[in-house]
Amino acid sequence: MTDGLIIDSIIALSALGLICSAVLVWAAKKFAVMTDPRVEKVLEVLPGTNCGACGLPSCYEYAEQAVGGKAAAGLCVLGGEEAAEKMGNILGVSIGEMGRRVALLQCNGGIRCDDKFQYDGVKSCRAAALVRGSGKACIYGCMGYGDCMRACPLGAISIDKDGLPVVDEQVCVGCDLCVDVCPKGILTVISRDKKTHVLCSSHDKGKYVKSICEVGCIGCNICIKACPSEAITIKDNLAVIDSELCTDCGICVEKCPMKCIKSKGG
Amino acid sequence: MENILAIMLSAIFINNLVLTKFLGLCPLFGVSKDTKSAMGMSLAVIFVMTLASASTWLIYTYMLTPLNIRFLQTISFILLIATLVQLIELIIRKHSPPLYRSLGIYLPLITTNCAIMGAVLLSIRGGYSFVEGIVFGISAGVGFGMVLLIMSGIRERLELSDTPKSLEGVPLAFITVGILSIIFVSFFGRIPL
Repeated sequence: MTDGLIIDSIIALSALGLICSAVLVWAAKKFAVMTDPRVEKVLEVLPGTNCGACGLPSCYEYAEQAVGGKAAAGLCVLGGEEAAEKMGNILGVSIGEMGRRVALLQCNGGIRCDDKFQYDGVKSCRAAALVRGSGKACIYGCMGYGDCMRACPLGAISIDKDGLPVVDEQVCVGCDLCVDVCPKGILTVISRDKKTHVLCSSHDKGKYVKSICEVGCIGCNICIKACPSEAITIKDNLAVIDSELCTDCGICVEKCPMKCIKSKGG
Repeated sequence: MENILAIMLSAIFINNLVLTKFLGLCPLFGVSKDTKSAMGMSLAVIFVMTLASASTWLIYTYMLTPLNIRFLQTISFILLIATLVQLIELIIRKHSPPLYRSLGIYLPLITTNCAIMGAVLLSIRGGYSFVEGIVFGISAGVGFGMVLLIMSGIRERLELSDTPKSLEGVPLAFITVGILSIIFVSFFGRIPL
């Protein structure tokens, strides 16, 4: 009697287990969701910390979007250049094509720009900007209190002796975080390929700019005349370079009387 | 018909799984922080509980009872429920990715949810027929969902209100559940069963 019960139990439970596993195996095959094998590969390259700096909630999500072509390959902040390159190899795109980006400060004033008054408050750009638009005479100018430096998760920004933030291009991945914190809105993220930039954001009249800043754009039109590819225009007393047309020839850099157009790396 | 109505009312209010049987307390505290996830969890529980009651009833009646091995009910039900949840997860993942995303994280939780197991065992112990068992499953799920939703609503409001520092968060949730439980206990004996 007892023996029969034991055998019955063993058979019944084994049968149940077998049936259940058979159903699951069948279902796993029948309802298999085809996932791109590249997603797994990309996921291996990513750090897997789900930090969210790329703008997506998790590394998996980012891998999925990147493979689907909805997100650029070089967005991973933690993985940096290395991860970007590996991802590029997996996805068959060069990172150059995807537009590796870097932050740029559109102000070259710093200590070369006059002070309006002595600001003595909290050493933070956002605080200083609240007091009559900062102590700088130029309301567009960088105050150099380093909010961007503190916002940078990679430590790519430092304040130099001129009182201006300097972006270390080897480290910067163009994540936009510094752009968001700058109260003056003079940080932008640009393509790494472009070398020539106007390092001024002032829309003030040329005469006033000249009186307060040694290196401000005065809207003199000399660069427009000098540019062989007609890439420069003046908008609101400020020279603007059209990156589509600019060939980085460097003529405007030489001609600019205020030396506010600069070429990176030379 | 009257019987079914009685089962429903009893499972939802009087013998509420959470507040009078004290089953499924971990999801009650874990997922009741906001109404949206509470809703997702409730739906998943109702769904799984209904299917679990049906399938376990069949196994119990046509396999365990004839072989006279009813003592194996717990282990075989665990097997069944786990398989069921896995199966549902696979199917939802294939056919409804949005539902999978909103329900997906709760489904594996349900596999080991004592409320499901409790509801199934209670339905067997109650000696219900197949239809009655299913009704009991649905109602128990609804009862669970109702408490979860009530809790999440209360907790969302408590988050915003001025509460003593020492009671903030989980302690206050415990007290709330206690009071809720007392309220539900007062339903005892209202419907003669």
